[in-house]
Amino acid sequence: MTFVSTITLVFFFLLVVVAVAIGRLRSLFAAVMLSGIFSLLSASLFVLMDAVDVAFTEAAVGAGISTVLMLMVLHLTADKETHNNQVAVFPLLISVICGGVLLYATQDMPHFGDPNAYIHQSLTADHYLNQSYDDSHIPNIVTTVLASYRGYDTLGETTVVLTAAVAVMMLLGRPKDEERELAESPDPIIEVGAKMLIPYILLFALYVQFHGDFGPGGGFQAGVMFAAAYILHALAGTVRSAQNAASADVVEKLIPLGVLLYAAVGVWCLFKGGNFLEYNALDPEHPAHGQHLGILLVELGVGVTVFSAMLMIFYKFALRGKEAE
Amino acid sequence: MILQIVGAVVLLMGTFVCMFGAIGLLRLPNFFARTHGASITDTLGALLCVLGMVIFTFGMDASLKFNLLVVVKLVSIGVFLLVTSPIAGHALTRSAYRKGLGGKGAPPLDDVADLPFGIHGVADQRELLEGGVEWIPSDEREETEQSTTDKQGGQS
Repeated sequence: MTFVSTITLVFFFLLVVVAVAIGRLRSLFAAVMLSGIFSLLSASLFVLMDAVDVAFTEAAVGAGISTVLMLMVLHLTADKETHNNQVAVFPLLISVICGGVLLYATQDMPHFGDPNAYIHQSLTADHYLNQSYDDSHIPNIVTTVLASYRGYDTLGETTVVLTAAVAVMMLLGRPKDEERELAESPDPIIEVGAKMLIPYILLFALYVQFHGDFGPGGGFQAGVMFAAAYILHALAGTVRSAQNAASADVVEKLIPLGVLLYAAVGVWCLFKGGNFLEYNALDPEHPAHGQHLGILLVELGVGVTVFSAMLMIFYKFALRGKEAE
Repeated sequence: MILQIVGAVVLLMGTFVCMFGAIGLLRLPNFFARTHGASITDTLGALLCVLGMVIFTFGMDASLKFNLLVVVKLVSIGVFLLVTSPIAGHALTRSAYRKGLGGKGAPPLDDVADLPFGIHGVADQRELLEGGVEWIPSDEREETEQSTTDKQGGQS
């Protein structure tokens, strides 16, 4: 057994341990923290499997922002699970059956690192690996696949983010201008520390946003990082100061704007005589330039939507408590 | 080669500090002491690990340009940890104190800054560590001590 596969096994074992612990815990606060650790472990596993882009997303979204959002939810509700002694037979049955089906299905999966697995035999993967650089002159194949080859999917994903934000806004209502503060008095040490970090977080987010063509990164990760910077500002200081930096009204309008930018690029391609989201048509002389431009704009749209959706959901949760009190 | 050995030794020291921090996190008696253990892992342990990796990288035979790139990344990780970890520990302790882990009747956080000895005041720290001790502000504490000695004197 090689060194890497040993580490992989250790990580998988830790994943199972954390999952069981989450299931058994009654304290929801600890469960949220453990789910953050679960995401971080998954991200480490993705790195081990050379899926750096996925790991990046998992670390930023799973371990970072969703933990914060879950904590905001706990801020509104009780942080202990209510105890229920009744054994629910029907849900248990469904869980067992679903788990059994999944376990049965894993038998058809190829073994870990199996060279004869279908994915290594099929010519589709080869085509993308060999062709993507000639098509778009972008070194990061993940970005090419995400934004160009399967641009429709990514448009759908961005719309899902939009839908989620709209759903939260409909459930929680418009945020009020007058707001409750998370902390009674902002702590100078935490405030100064946050002020030191925020510029670098924003700078790194910009780097991730526009360097996604060449290294791991892209709109999803960068959007989450932008939102994280503002959320840190709100958590360390006051929600009001964060709203002065990014007004809720503006953020609200940015959510659909990102999706519109994405779709507008597709329509622009139509006007230029190509298919929807066929970036080659943007620059008929140099198709690769068209790909560059299209992918850049599309990633920007994704980034804007993810950023504003995350920040909006945070604002909703952070300002919610006042009405209840 | 020598640099690699030195780097490995520093790295090992870092892991030992991390281990002591973990033991402290599990074994220390109350929340604030445990936070101390966790902060050691975050700060000294992690920084020693980063330092060890920096020294180790300089000892590697790859080209200097590559080494420098790695070292710059490692140093920026170190600086980031140096800023965030103590602040995280501070924020954790502060919010725990605010939630009432400082003992019964502990003064509000804004008053603590005015006390001469910070959160612990002049209370016996060991009593506070064992937890659940009722908080006595410094001036009243002297009075109660006097009154107990008075009582004892009266009894004898």
